[in-house]
Amino acid sequence: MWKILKTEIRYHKTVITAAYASGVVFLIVAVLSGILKRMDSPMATWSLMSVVTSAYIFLLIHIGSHDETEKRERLHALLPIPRLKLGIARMALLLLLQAGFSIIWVIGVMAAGKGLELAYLYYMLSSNAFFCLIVALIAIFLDLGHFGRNTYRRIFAGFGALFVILVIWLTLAGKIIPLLEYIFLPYTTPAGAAIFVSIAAGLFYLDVVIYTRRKSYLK
Amino acid sequence: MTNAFSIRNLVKTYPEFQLGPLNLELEPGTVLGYVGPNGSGKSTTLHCLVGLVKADGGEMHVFNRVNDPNQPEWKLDIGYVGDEHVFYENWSGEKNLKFLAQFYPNWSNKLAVDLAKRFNLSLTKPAKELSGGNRVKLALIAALAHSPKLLLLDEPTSGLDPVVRAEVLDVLFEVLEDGERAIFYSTHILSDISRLADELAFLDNGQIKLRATKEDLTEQWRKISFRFSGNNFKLEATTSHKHEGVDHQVISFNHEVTLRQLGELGAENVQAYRLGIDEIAVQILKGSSADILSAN
Repeated sequence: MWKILKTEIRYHKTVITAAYASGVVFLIVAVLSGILKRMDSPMATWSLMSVVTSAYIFLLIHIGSHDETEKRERLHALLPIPRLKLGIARMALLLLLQAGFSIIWVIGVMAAGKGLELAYLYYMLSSNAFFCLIVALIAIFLDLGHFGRNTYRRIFAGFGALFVILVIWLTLAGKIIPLLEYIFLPYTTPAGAAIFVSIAAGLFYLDVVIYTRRKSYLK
Repeated sequence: MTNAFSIRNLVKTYPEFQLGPLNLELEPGTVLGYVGPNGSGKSTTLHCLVGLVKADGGEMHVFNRVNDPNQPEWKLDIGYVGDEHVFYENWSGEKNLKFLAQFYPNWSNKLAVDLAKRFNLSLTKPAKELSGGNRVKLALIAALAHSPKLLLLDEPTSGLDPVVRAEVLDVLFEVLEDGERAIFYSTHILSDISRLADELAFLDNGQIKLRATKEDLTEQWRKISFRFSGNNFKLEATTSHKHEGVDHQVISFNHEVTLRQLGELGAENVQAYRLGIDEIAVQILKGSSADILSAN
């Protein structure tokens, strides 16, 4: 598993370095310009977190598109490595890359003199877990495409469509903001962080299970 | 004896195609050509065997070990060159081989470098800059450098122009003729494998129509011409029958039976010609499997 992880990081090191460098530069600017200091609550650092996350998203798109084009899953599936370890390596890579960005974010927050407040830590954990949750859902959707006639993928997409309809309905009914406030209220609490981390971990685990049971590794 | 691989009742179903139920085995040291037209199920068989595709039913063993993807020690005995050659495209051949070397305890860098020399392949170029022929060569080196006991080749030269294909095959056969390994070579171009194969298995529409040694095929099959004026007769052990007036030409998969019958009928000017393995393959794949199977 480590061999695969190390190889992937080595293979993508230029773009990983560039993405981290852009995150670091942005945080340096944010700290030096005093933007971060003026943010008086963990939630107020959301915009900052979003910018760092954007670099992460570009990184994921780059790595994902390379893997797809170069049919990396096919290459790895042929190696004498247990399928379970391959599935874990894949998700561990995502986790590692995101952990790197979290560290940059934590350093930035601490440099701005806000590191002692635990609320920032919980906020960081919750928002990272939330992003992991989205990434895991995308991975699950992609992996479900390798089960014969796409039945599971259609069911999954059906739930996704229902979710979008629900969100539109809540928005039209004027209930979306109170609901979001309710959902994100525990964001800065230990219980909230634990809930989001557990959901993300559960979905990561689910994707590893789905990956190991795929019917095809041709693409 | 432990088979290099054995496939029992393999079934893989797609919306418009079903492979199997398929039974196939390969003894160590044997070279088996797996011949069939495009879409007959050759790649699917190999994909199931190496674990790229999950079979819907059946059992597969490699040197007596189940091809379980979660206990993949059996993969150490396999060298596989597929219908597509996948690499880390931005890395050189050398780096790609170094990556693979980590997973195979028997990997020999010396052998890899020797093979590259024999194939006349530069290992310093990024994989994405390699020509089709050179990608095949790199894939072959990757499959051979850990000295596998079983080599699985799935139309490795498909898509190459005839000159490059001949060049790759020449070196490949030179390398393989030295060894004792079992080789399973899937192709729709029989001339690619006829030089190397001990046995041939013919696959059509997901089913094996015939498996025979190359010698048996060339010994038994004949093109027979003769003159006969009778109308109502049916010759045994034949797959095709053409005639112009009293001049007839048949393809026989058991020439002794056919010639005996022609003698009994009183046919004149009977002449039998040996067939090339390519011609035999065409006849098998387009002929009636029931007749041929019952005769073999």
